[in-house]
Parts: sequence; C-alpha cells; structure tokens
Amino acid sequence: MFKQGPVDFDWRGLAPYWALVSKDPSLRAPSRIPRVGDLIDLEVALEEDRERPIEVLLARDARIGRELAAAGLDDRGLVLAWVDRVRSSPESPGQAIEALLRLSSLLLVGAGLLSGALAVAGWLWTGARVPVNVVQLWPALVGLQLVLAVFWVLVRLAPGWLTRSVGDGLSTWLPTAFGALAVRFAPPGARDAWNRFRALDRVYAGLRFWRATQLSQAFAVAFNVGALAALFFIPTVDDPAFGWRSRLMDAGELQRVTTVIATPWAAVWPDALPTRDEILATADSSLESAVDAEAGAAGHSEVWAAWWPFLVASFVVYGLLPRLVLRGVAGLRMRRLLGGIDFDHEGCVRLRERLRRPVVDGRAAGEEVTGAHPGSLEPPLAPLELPDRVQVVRWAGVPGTAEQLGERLARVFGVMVDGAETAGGLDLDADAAALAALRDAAAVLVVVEAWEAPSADYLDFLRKLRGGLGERAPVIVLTCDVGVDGQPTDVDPRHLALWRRHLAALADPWLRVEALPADARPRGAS
Amino acid sequence: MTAPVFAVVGHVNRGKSSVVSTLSADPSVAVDDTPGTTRAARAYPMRVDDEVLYTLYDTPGFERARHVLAWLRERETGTGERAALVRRFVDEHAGTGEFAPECELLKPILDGAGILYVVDASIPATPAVEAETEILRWTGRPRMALLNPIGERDFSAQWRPILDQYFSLVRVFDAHEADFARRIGLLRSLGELSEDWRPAIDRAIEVLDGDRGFRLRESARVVADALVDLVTHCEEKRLDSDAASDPEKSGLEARYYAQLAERELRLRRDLRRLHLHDDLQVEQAVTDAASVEQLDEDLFDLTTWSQLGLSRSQLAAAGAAAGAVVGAGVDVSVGGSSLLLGTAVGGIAGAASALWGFGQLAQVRVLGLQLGGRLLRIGPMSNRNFPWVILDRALVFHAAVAHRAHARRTPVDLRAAEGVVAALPRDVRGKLESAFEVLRKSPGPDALHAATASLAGEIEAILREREPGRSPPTPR
Ligand SMILES: Nc1nc2c(ncn2[C@@H]2O[C@H](COP(=O)(O)OP(=O)(O)OP(=O)(O)O)[C@@H](O)[C@H]2O)c(=O)[nH]1
Ligand SMILES: [Mg+2]
Repeated sequence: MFKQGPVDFDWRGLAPYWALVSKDPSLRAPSRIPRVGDLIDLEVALEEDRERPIEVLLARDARIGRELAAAGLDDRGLVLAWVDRVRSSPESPGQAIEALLRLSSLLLVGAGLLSGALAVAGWLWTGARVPVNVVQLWPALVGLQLVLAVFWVLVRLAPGWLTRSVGDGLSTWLPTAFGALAVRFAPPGARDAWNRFRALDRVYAGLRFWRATQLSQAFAVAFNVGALAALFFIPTVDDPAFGWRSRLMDAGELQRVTTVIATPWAAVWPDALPTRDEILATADSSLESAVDAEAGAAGHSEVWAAWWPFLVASFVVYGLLPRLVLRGVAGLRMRRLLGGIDFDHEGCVRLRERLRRPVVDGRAAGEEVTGAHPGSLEPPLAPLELPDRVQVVRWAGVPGTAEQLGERLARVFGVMVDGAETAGGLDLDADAAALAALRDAAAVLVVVEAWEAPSADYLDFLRKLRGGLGERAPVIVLTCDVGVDGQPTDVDPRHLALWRRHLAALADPWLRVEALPADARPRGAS
Repeated sequence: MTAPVFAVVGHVNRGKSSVVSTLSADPSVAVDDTPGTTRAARAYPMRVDDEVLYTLYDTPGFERARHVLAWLRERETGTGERAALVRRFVDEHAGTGEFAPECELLKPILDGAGILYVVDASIPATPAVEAETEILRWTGRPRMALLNPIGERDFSAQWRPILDQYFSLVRVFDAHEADFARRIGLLRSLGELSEDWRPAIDRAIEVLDGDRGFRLRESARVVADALVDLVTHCEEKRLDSDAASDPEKSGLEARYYAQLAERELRLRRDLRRLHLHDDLQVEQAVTDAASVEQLDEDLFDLTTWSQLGLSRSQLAAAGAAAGAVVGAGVDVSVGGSSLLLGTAVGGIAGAASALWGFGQLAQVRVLGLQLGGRLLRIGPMSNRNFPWVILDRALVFHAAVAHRAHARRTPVDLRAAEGVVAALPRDVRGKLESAFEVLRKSPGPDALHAATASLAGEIEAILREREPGRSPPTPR
C-alpha cells in the first residue's frame, strides 16, 4: 500500500495546464497528495456504495468518469477526484475529522504553551523567596523531556522486544486515545466514520502513528516555547534567584556536568555556561548570604544571570530542537505515506474500473410509439348457414392445387365448389379478375395461409370483396396450414385466434374465420 | 471510420423487433405477436461513450409489398434507375396512409443503410416474400437474410434457395435464444457486408467483449459481497431480563431470516440489472423463515435444498481440502519434519467439522453485555451447506439472466432448476470452502477483505468457464 519514495512536489496547481498539454492518456498528471479526510471519506463512500443498487453505481460513475476523462488523471488522482465529487457535503465525515484534528492540534498547542509557561513560572515564583535549585529544575523540565523524546524515537527505531511490547502498545494506544478524545466531541457521523477508518488498519495503519506523533510533538514544541517565554518574561516582573544544592555533587563535579551539557552550544554561545566562580557563588549556603547581605536588585540580578543563559540554551537545545525535529519528521513521514498510497485495494480497483470503462449502450432513446392493438376478440358469432354452392378464392401461398382444395372443401363442408379463383399473387390483375368473377356470388370461401400475419393486403381484398357481394352474402375466411413434408396439418389455435382478432377490424357481421382441419386430406394422399 | 447503419426489415410479425432487441440488448423494444406492432422506424444507436459505432433501425413490416412492386414495375425504365424509382415511390407516398409502413422501412435504406431481412424459418415462404425481396434488391443496398425460427417447424430447406438468389449472406439467428456469443457472431457477419463497415464493427465487437468481461466480473463481485453479508449476518436484540422469552426468540429469528431473504433478493436484482434485464420476472426460492421453521434435522430433504448446494460427502471433501490447506501450512512451518501429518490432520479435522456442521442452523444465543442487560443474538449461520446453497442459487440465477436474449420477456421459473456447485472441480470447491470457513469465524477486516476478494476471483473464474463458446452463426 505505501510506497517508499521521495516526497512529491505538490502538482495540484498544475493539473489543468497538464491536461491542456497532454492529450496522451498514458501521460497522466501527477495527482495531489491525499489528506486523511480524503481517505476517510473514500472509505465511507465505498462502504455506502455497498448498499446502493448496482445500476445507480454504474450510472453515477459513468457520468463522473466522463467528466473526469479530460483531466487525464492517474490512478490516485482519479480516486481523489471521485471522492471530491461524491462526498456528502462540505461537512463530510472525513472533513469533520480533519477539522477535529486541526482543532485538537490547536488545543494541544494552546495547552502546551500554557503548561510550559506555568511549569517554568511555578518553579521560578518560589525563587522570589527561596532560590530555585537548578539541580532539581533542570532534570524536571529539560531532562525528562529529553528522556521522553529519546524513548519515542526508540519506540520507532529499536528492534526486538522494545518495539513489540512497549512500542506496539504505545503506537496503538496513543493514537487511539487521541482519536477517542477528539471523537468525544464529534457528531455521531464523524464518530462512525472514525471507527470505520480505524477498522481499515490494513490500509492505513502507518498513518495513525505519525498523525499522533505530529499532535504530541506539536504539544511538546508549544510546551518549550511556553517555557522559554516564561523564562524571558518572568525576570521582567519578578526577581527570581537560582542556586544549587546537591548531596551527590560538589562544585567541581557540577561544573563538569554543566560543561558537558553545554557542549552543543559551546561554540556559538560560550557565555551560556556558569563559570566556576559563579557556581561557587550560587551554591546553596553562599547564596543565602548573598541575598541577605545585599538585598538589592543589582546583586540579585547577578545571581540569576549566572544560570539563566544556561537554562535558556538548555530549553532550546534539549527541549525545543528535538521536538521540532520529531514534529518535522512526523510531517514528512505523513506526507510520504499519504503520497505513497496508490489506492490499489479491491474497492478502489473496482471503482476505477467503473470510472474508466467505456460506457456501451445500444438502447434507443425515449419511449416507443407502438401500433394500437386491434379490437378485442371477435364476439362469439353463430356459424353462418352456407348455401349448397359456394365460390372459392385461394390465396397464392396456400399449398396444393385448386382441384385438391375443392375436394377437401366438399368433404369437410359438404358444399359444391362452383368456381375457384386465385388472389394474393404477384400479378395484381389476377386479384381484379377474381373480384370481378365473384361479384354477386351467393357465398365465398377465402382460403388463406394460417401462418401468415393477417396484413393490410388481406384486409384490402376482403373489403373489396364485400363491396362486390352486397351486405348479406356469407364470407368465410378459411385458414389452413401445411407441414414441412408438404402435407396439410391442423391449424394452430393461436393463429386462428390472431386471424379472428384482426379481421374483427372489418366489423363485418357476415364474415367468419374458421380453420380447415388436417384430416380433410385430398383423396389418395396418405 | 464510417459508422454503418442497418435496417432490420421484413414482413410483419417475423421477429424484426426481436432481432433488434436482442442485438441491442434493449428489453424495452415492443415485441408482440400482434402484426403491425412496430409503427415507425426507430434508431438503436450503439454508443461507446459519445461515439456511435453503428445504428440499427427497427422498422414496421411490409404489408402491401405486392402493390409497391407493381407500382415500381409499371414505371420502370431501366435497371440503372431502379433505386431512384424506389426513392420516388417513397417521396410520393410518404404521408399517405396506405403505404406508410413501406415508406418508413425504405427510408433508412435509401439513406444508406444495409439491409437485414428477417424471415421466419418455421413457416413456409409465400409470394409476398418474392415481392419484398425484389423491392429490396431494387434499392441496391448490401443485404443479408436472417432465418429466425419463431416456431418449432423448420422450413429452412425451403427458404435457402429463395434467399440465396437475393442475398449475399444468409444466416440463422434465433432472436429469442441467442446468447452473447451469437450476438457477436451476427455482428461479425454484418461486418462482412461491406469493407467500409468492417473497422467500426470490429471495434464494436471489441468494446462489447470488454463490456461483457466487466459485467461478468462485476457479477462475481456482487455475488461474493452477498455471500459475505449472508454468511456473516447477525441480528441482535437487547434484553431487559436475564432470559429470553420464546416470542422474543422467534421474533428475532423471523427478522434474521427476513434479512437474509431481502439480501438475496437484492443480489438477484443487481444481477438482473447488470445484464440489463431490468424487469425480467424470475421465480426462485429464497431463504425464508417459513420453510426454516419446519427445518430440523431434515433440512436437506426439502426439495429446494436437496437439488442445490453440496451433498454430505462432497461437503466433507471440500472441508477436508480446506482443512488440508491449513494443515499444509503447519508442515511448511516445521520444515516438513511432520511427514505431512499436518496436512492429514487438517484434512480430517476439516472433513469432520464439515460433517458436524451439516445440519446446524443459525443459533439463537443469549450473550452477557458489559453495561448491564443481556443481548439476544442470532447468526452467523453455522450450517456448512448454507453458503453453497446460496452460491448455487446465485449461479443458476446468473446463468438465467446472463445468457438470456433481451427479446424474450416470458417469466423464468428456476424453482426446480438443477444446481451447479456439485459439478464444480474439487480444487475449486476446496478454495471456496476455505473462504467460507473464514467467513463463518467472524473475521477481522483484513481476513474479511481477503476472503471476499478470493471469493470474487473464484466466482469470476466459474462465470467465465460457464460462458458459452464464441461459435459463429451457422454458415449457410
Ligand atoms: N419463440 C420465438 N418467438 C419469436 C422469435 N422471434 C419473434 N418471436 C415472436 O414473434 C412475435 C413477433 O415478434 P416481433 O419481434 O414483434 O416481430 P416484428 O417483426 O417486429 O413484428 P411487427 O413489428 O408487428 O412487424 C412475438 O410474439 C415474438 O415473441 C423467436 O426467435 N423465437
Ligand atoms: Mg416490430
């Protein structure tokens, strides 16, 4: 997940120009470095997507993908741009958490300043009456800090048991504690988001440690700044006195220790080291006499001037500087980790596929206007009485010869076929001839192909036929069917129903639609 | 790259709209057994992002072809003028009612479309066909005939010689049976109609192939997600007293099974949408409380379960395979000095636990809560066959929607469908079982993600495996 690499320059501002220059999609613009809030919002959005119907996701991401296509974003940039678009509002959980982190960082800085100043002030104030014992002050305010800083570094660096036992404990507990603290004041949405984010350790575990380091070191830096400020400010309103008293060290030893401590700044600020005389002068017993004897400001200032520069330099070198370095390292690590996230876990891979896929669509736009359904089924009509003699029209697609058909009809209906015409062929004159021959016939059987759709062609013919016959002559449309072997078969009832439904459009009370049964085989056929 | 246009034409009620619906994967095309359903030419542009690669036109069917041909023949002066004469026919008759369908269908052709002439291979040819094909020939456009068998009978032997006279290509395309591979096969044939159209069609095929891959992959992912949700699902209820009453228990149980059923339905909905069958009706069982109440030891005697999932012995085998994987890890860690004992023990343990969990249902348990009170919880489902049954149903469902032609609208009944997981190769079953095993153990986020990803991968492989081959339409 995290790639080691140089810290990226922030290219964000250049992206639009990049898009102008590069039309080649393989040259993608480097993307901005994500923020923690982006990561949280990403995970929240992916989680919410699990509940969404797939077509909603496909449509949304196709749209976003199209909008983003022109920008030529790389994998990470694409995901970030997507997050920017889908996050619920400016107060998205991720941004709420970012704001909380900023707020807690501010609060910690404030608390650091205050506690630094108070700590120093607390020590120095007593100095107005009793001189401050440097041998106690230094370890409490500077030495302890140094130990903690070294410990923090060891936690991160030291291999083996230390890292595993103490380090793991600290690096999980501390950020969790920070997080929990921040989230305590957060709205429920942000709380959920934070918990979900914590569940994603797999992806973002490294971030939490460094974020916590950033926060804690901000506090520590502020603590030292506050302490220094107090150190500078208090002598202007009060007269603190420094001295020393120790059962473990004599003046010589103390001088050796202070010299060692002052090594880092010996070259730049040699005066920030009490001289042997000053050490002797500020030893506990002599100090009291000095204060007693002179009781004047001038002498007093000499007393604190012996130790004050040393303390200032100690706070700067052993308090402020290491904390600044730690804070800086944490910042760099955060940037590098965030910059190294390439969003290659399953959810992001899937997301990018939705964003980048070509959107294929073959469907028509808009609503289709379809043909009006023909009238309802023909109302059940009584069968027509056929006269003994009928005329027959054979539609051109009906298989078999006119004679075979005549025989079949005679057998099935017991009618004499008077004459057989053909219509429906390519020759329209034949239709006209048939209509002329049928003028004033007593009854007409129109034999049609049952499998054919009752198209307008048939309807035209039947209308014209009725026109020539007069109103009451029975017309029977007889559907017939044929098998693959060329032999007559029964008519599919669905076909018959279709014909009936469609010819109902003629609204002809003297017209019926019937089916010619298969067993009416022409004589001689098996 | 020229984007070709194809007009799907033919006699009324021959399945033109069905062909268009299936080819464009658009289930909203009006398909009906009433002749004259399609009233106007309608464009189905095949778009990739904003580019149109080709366009299909659905058209109304010929109704009075004989009369159109007679009109044309009466005015024929020379062979060279035929297309112009057809144009004149359209110009003179557009707007009049009589030849409205013919004008609508000829217009795209006169504007440069290729012709896809659809006939029903299950009925005999009639003279109307001759009129129609002759008119189409007069337009002089590249053309192909499609034999679409609507009914059972097969008259294609009768059709071939007729169509061969008029069409450079004749293909069989069953608009209601064609799966994705056949769609692509037909597209390829369309590309053969003209050299100019080839690049666009090839590109369309490439894009459609990619899209198909995406949809299969996405299907596998939604199935995997649903499996995870279903197997790990729990329902909880806070109790005021120390013990749970029976109504509390059964209420919680009912809610649990209702949630399972809802999740399964959501999966099916997603699968339908992924394959663009938005409104297709599919009948299939879900895990429901009613059937579960009768379930006891005899869980697998129920008809819906007995044909799905794995048999007792298959499940034991899968459990053994999954256990062996874990055991093999032990062997590796001791440098092989255990003489494969780890594998053997793991396998036996896996098989044993699979057998033991065969009849187990989700249990209702009362848990202590830290801050006073107690918690009544049901789930996750301990039944070992449960994920298999769910997977089976999902695969059956997927097959029903993924291979279904979009022209076909009749409801699908899968209630008695044969299961498929029992036929999966052993090693695949083993891999799936180890993922299920992880899910059953209330995994942490890492393990859960890994198991989900592995499930999705396996399922995608199964779906791809079950994708019918890319056989071209029957050559003539
Ligand atoms: N079984 C089966 N039925 C089909 C097939 N193709 C079409 N049908 C049926 O045939 C009928 C007509 O289909 P449509 O696609 O509407 O035919 P069309 O040519 O567009 O019809 P019109 O628009 O009325 O000219 C419908 O009832 C379809 O369900 C097929 O391949 N198999
Ligand atoms: Mg139609």
